[in-house]
Formats: sequence, C-alpha cells, structure tokens
Amino acid sequence: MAHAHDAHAAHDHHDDHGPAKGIGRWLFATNHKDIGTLYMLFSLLMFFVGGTMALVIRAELFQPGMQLVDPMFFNQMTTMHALIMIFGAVMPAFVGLANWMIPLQVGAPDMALPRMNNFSFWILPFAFTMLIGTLFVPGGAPAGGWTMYPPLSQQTGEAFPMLIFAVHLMGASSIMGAINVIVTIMNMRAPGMSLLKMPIFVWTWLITAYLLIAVMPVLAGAVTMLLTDHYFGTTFFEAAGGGDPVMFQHIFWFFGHPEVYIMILPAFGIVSEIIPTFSRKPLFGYDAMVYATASIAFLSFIVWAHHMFTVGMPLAGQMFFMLATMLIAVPTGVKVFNWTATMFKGSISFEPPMLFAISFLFLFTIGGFSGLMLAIVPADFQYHDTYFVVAHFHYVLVPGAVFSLMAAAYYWLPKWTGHMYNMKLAKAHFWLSTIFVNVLFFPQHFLGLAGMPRRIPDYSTQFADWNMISSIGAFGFGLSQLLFVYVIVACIRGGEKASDKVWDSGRPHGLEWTLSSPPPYHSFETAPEVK
Amino acid sequence: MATEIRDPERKRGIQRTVIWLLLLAATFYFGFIAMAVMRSH
Amino acid sequence: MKIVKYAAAGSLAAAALLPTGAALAAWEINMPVGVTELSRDIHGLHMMIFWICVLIAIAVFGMMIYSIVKFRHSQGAVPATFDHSTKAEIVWTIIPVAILVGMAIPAAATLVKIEDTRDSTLTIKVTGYQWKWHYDYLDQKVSFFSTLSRDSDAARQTGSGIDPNSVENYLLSVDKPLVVPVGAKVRVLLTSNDVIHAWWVPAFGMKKDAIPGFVNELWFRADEPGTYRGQCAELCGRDHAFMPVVVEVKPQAEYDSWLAEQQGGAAPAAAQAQTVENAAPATAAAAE
Repeated sequence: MAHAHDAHAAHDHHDDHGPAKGIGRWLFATNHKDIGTLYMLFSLLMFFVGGTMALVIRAELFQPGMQLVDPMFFNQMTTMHALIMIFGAVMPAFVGLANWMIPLQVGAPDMALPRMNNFSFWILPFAFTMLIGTLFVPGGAPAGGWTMYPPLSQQTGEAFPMLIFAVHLMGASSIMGAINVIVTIMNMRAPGMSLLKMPIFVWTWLITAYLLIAVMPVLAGAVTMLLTDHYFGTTFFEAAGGGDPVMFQHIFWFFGHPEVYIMILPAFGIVSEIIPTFSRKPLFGYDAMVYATASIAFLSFIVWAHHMFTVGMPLAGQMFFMLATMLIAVPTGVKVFNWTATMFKGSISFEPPMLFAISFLFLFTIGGFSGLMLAIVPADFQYHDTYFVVAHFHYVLVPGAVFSLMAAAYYWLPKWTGHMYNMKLAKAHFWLSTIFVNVLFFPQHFLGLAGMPRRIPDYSTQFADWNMISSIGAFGFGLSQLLFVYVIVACIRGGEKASDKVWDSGRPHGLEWTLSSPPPYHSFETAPEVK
Repeated sequence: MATEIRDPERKRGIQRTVIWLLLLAATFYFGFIAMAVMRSH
Repeated sequence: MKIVKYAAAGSLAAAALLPTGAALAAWEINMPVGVTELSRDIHGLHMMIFWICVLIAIAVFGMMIYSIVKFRHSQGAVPATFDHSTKAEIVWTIIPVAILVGMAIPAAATLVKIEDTRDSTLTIKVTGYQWKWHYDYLDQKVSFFSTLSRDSDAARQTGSGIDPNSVENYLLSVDKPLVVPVGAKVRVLLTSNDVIHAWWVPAFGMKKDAIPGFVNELWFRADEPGTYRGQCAELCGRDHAFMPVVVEVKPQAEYDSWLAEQQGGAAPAAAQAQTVENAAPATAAAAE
C-alpha cells in the first residue's frame, strides 16, 4: 500500500484530486465519470427531442386525413426521429454507461484514453446541431428514411451534405468510444480479473465495441459513396450509370443489423446485472451467457439481408438468410431461459430497477417472437414495410433497450450521486411507462397485419381505431417520461444518503459496490485484487 | 501491487491495441468501398 | 376468422358499389386470408408460427410469473445457490433448434412455390412513378397510368376539411385499376422510373420492390372475382401514402370485353394516360 502511494506521488506532477471548477470541468473533461454523465445527459436531451418528433408523427396519425403537417414534413419527422433516437439517444446512453461503469467494474482508475474520450463526446453536440439544423435549410430535413436508400435519398435538398457529414461525425465518435472501451477492458483490468471473471455488463460491452469498430466504418463507406454519387459523378448506386441501388441496401444492412445488436447487447448486460441482485442468487449460466452474446454478435454479420427480402434475391439467398436469422433465436432463447432460471428459486424483491428488468424480460421476448415471425420469408412478404415491423422493432428498442437504460439508471443512480431517489415516483414512472408502451405499440401489430404500410402520414379509414389507441399510448408514454427526469434531477440535488452497497439485498456483486457512494473522483488509484 | 496508468508496459499495450483496432476499422471502411468499386465495373 | 370473412365480403361489395371500408374492417387484428393459393399458404404459415410462439410464450412467461409470484422476498423466500446446470442448458438449446427446423421446412416449401413464375398466361409490366403506377399488358398492347382517385386526392390535402369517412375507399381507390381475369396465372414484372417503390396487394399475399434499372417478378392467381386494394409499401417520397394499387379480378368474359374495349379505343386510352401524366387524374367515374 505504502509502495503504491509512493509510486503514485512520483508520477503525478499536477495532481488534482477533485473536479475542476465551472464549465471547464465539462468542456475539458477527461474524467470517465464526468464524461459518462455528459453522455447520459446528452442522450436524455436527445430522447426528448426524438420523442417530440414521435409525438408529431402520432398526432398526425391520430385520425385519418391530413390535419397538422405536410406529408413531406411528416417524412422528415420519421427520418429524424429514427436518426436521433438511434444515434443520439440509445447509443450515447450506452456509451455513457460504459464510461461510468467499465472502469469501476474492472477496477481501473479511468478509461485508458481520457483525452480521446473527451473528443468522442464533444463531437456529438456538433453532429446533432448540424443534423437538427437541417430542419431549417431549404428543402427541409432529410426525408428519405433513416436507411437513406438511394435513389430517394439523392432527392434530399440542401440537407444532404449536412446529413452525410453528421453521420460521419457520429460514426467517428462511436468508433473512438468503442476503441476506448476495448483498450480499457484489454489493458486496465485489476490484477486477477481474467476475462471470464469480468462482470457480464463488461463482457457485453466488449463484444458490442467490436461490433461498432467493424460496422461503423461500413456505414461511413456507404454514405461516402452516396456523397460521391451526389457531387462527384460516381454511379455506385445509380442504375443509369451502371450502378446498383440494391447494393446500397446490402452495404447499409451489413452495418444495420449488427447496429441492432449494438443497441441490445449492453441491454442484456444490464439486465444480467440487475436480475441476480434482486433475486439474491447468482446469475444462472454465466459462461453460457458470454458464449450466447458472442454467438449473437457473430450471427449478426450473416443475417443482414432479412431486412430486404422483397428486393428480389435468388432463392438460395433467401433460404440462407431465413435460416441464419432463425438461428439467432437459439442464443437469444438461451439468454431468456437463463434469466428465468436466475429468478427461479431466488428471493425476489421489486425495486424500480428490477421492475424495469422484469418488464424488459416479458416485452423484449414479445419483440423476439415477432422477430421470429418476420424471419419466415413467405410471411415476411406480407409483413415487410408494414406496421408489424414498426411494432416489432419498437418492442425490442423501447421496452427492450430503453427500459434497460432506465433500469440501469435506477440501479446505479444512488451509486453515482450518493443519494437514494424517490422510490414511489420511480415505481409510478415504471407502471405508467409499462402500461403506455403497450397501449402505444401493441396495436401496431394489428395495424400491420391488417395491411397498413409504415412511413405513411395518412391512412385508409379502416385503420382509424387502432391508430387512435396507439396515439393515446404515445402521448401517455411521452408525458410519463417527464417523471423520469424529475426523479433523476431530484436525486442529483439531494436525498437520503445511499450506502456503499446501496441495495440491501446483500448481493450486488462487482467492484463498483466496494467503493463509496458516490465513488471518489479518481476511483481505484490502487488496483484492487480480484480473487 | 498497483499497476499505474502511466506504467510504460501498459502504455505499450494500449498503443498496440489502439493500432490494431484502427487497422480493423480502416479495413472495413476501405474494404467495402473497394468492393463497391469492383462491383460497379 | 369471422372478421376475415367480412373483409372478403367487403371487397366483393365494393365491386357492387355498396358502402364498404371503415365499418367492415374496423378493429381488424389479423392478416386477411386472401384470395390466392400463395396468400392462403402464407396465412397458414403465419398462423402456425403465431401459435408456436403463443405456446412458447405460455411456457416461458408461465415460468417467469411462477418464479415472480412464488419466490418473493417479501414472503420470506430463501434463495437457492445454484448457478448453472449443463443438462438444462443443453435441453433449452436443442429444443428450440428442433422447433426452428419444424418451422423452416414448410416455409421453404412455400418459398419455392412463390419463386416459380413459369407457365403464366398473362404478363403485366408494372412501373412505379412518383407517385402513381403504370401498367403495361405486354402482349395485349394495352397500357395506362393508375392514379389516386380524385375524391381521395381532394380529401387528403392538408386541412381540406373533407371527412375521410365520407370518401369511399379513402386512399385505396384509383382512377383506373389494373384488370385481370379470374383463375389466370398473372406474372407481374416490376420496375421503376425514379426511386424504389413496392407493389403490394395483401389479398394476393405478395409484395415486391420496384427498382429503377432492374426488373423483379412475382405472380398471383386470384380465385375469386372482386376488387382488391393495396398500397405502395416502400417509402418513395412525399406522396408515398397516396399511390394505391387496385386490382379488379373479373370473370374471363368480362375481362375479354374490357380488353377489347381498351384495344379498340387505343387512341383514347393513350390520350387518357397522357392526361394522367400531365395534370389532374382522369375522372373516377370513368374508371368505375
């Protein structure tokens, strides 16, 4: 111990044990906790920006006929809602969690590359200012869908180069974040923490980070080619010049499918941390969980074309992608069964994080079922591009990814702030969210099956009833989230003091619970031993 | 035993990992563009 | 299933110009069965997978609910300490694989049938435009545009003040529908003039993208005369929601006379197509 201190003092020339004062603390942040906080607050802001756009969509769809907006603006809303929610809300929230938790969980003092960490965060506000700024340029925001399929995306007005540049920036930010995560996990683990002793959240993030590094450059490549097609006379995706618009879809979904898992694997990690804590029982099948995560990541690279079964692929291709996609159900099933087995014969209590985790378990599984249905190519010819797909991916993204993020916030917030939050309000937030999310998205299954295409601002009168229900759910869900913000803000400002272990289940495992709540500004200056 | 963040051996490890990951990212970026270039002929 | 019958009855009624649409298909919750062999096969697959998922859901959710209710901390449950069971994990890896194989076989069989476009009796080239469809009967020398009907188009303007419920088949009617004979295997060649569209008639069970520079194909054989309605299913720009697909399936004799009429008045048909392209859609009355 004494030796460690000496070594430390010898190396530190400009030692500062507390945060800097004022705005400089955030602008020049290199502390993993500060950057994690920035990421998560940014994502919360984007969650509300994207959510407001969703409410514009649902308000227009409240009843048949065009009441509020122009169809072009409606298309801008669907496009921007997706881009902002995916790249602005969900991904940064997970990166923020990674920043906060990975050093704490592997027993490191900080992320391995703190300055790059600062850079990768501060790119985002610029990227999103530019993206949202497209709403005010001639021709309006991008309206060709977040998938940016050419030739349609080539009809975008002044917003086109801004969109491409914003996507490039987001990609660069994600890649830097992912490099930081991998480097930290690979090089900064406490002595004795072998790979298979790492907390499951760290494992899922390690695999996610590899996915990011593999596919974000692919997206960057795809949009670079859109850009050269637009301005520099290439014809990668223009049939008139010998190109192939479908090739864009192949490249895009080679990125897009792993991207889906980028948004769900860390969610698996969070749920795998929370369920054992509140079941007072170790995670069932840790090794199997790790292997299942790795298999899902591997399979995610060979299923991309299931997003585009209707483009007219050879029979053999359709068969292959159908079977590979169905195969994903196996490791995903293993995970769901293992979580259930963790709860089985446990001793379960229902604090807000556990409530969200249980809700995740049920509702994500429903999204898994509709995913399995979508994998069946002949049936997909009916489901494709209908509200059934919209219902499916919102079930895996909202009560899936987003609920896991809320669970994580409620699980670690006392650790981060040192205060307990208002349990009653958090539980009210949970019940409102869970009820309204189903009112919002469940009827969309019916709409899709009955034949309502997605991305339309107006619909035939036979779809009126379920659309109205869905819109009511949307406004209920959106308003409930204000409660979430209130609980968080109140918790940051004060509250009952949280203990180091926070949860009285006696079972929160992992190095983060050995530190005080809140943890010291520089945690684990001396690496802990892991046995 | 404290492993300092500025420990030279760890620093080399970090640099090596970063270089490999950057190479991986670059391979995917240029690889996919090259593939598209070859296909469009 | 009753609702589905009503929906089918609805489409028949539409042909007879009876009130239809909203009241009949409201609160619809399932995929309609359709009127082609493929759509029935697909519906069967859909229901099979749906029920398999329901069974799995009962087992999995049942187990979760049981655990949540039975092993409550507040009821003094004492946690066990086991953390894995290789036997259980092998079981719940193998059983899903078996179920998936069971699903994949009928799916593959249907897929093979879907891809078999041989021996068609009629070939129609369908071209997507922003935002209308062009139909070209390749061997019959008949071609025309099909655009959203005028009353829907008036009602769908932002702030039009027209109640969509007062418009018959709101957004699902066109000035000039595609007409095909009942019982004939129709091969549809799909392409596009500008961006990617997708041609979809739910009652036929088929949807495929119309891609500029490429030709896709699909086939259907409608077993019952009637009017079947669908929409463009691939985002294609501002008026993506306003380019419906309407197909009238007529008995052979009626189809023949329709065709003769089209061919006989080749000049008017071309003129009409021209009008459609340039300005207002041709009158809905003329199409009816």
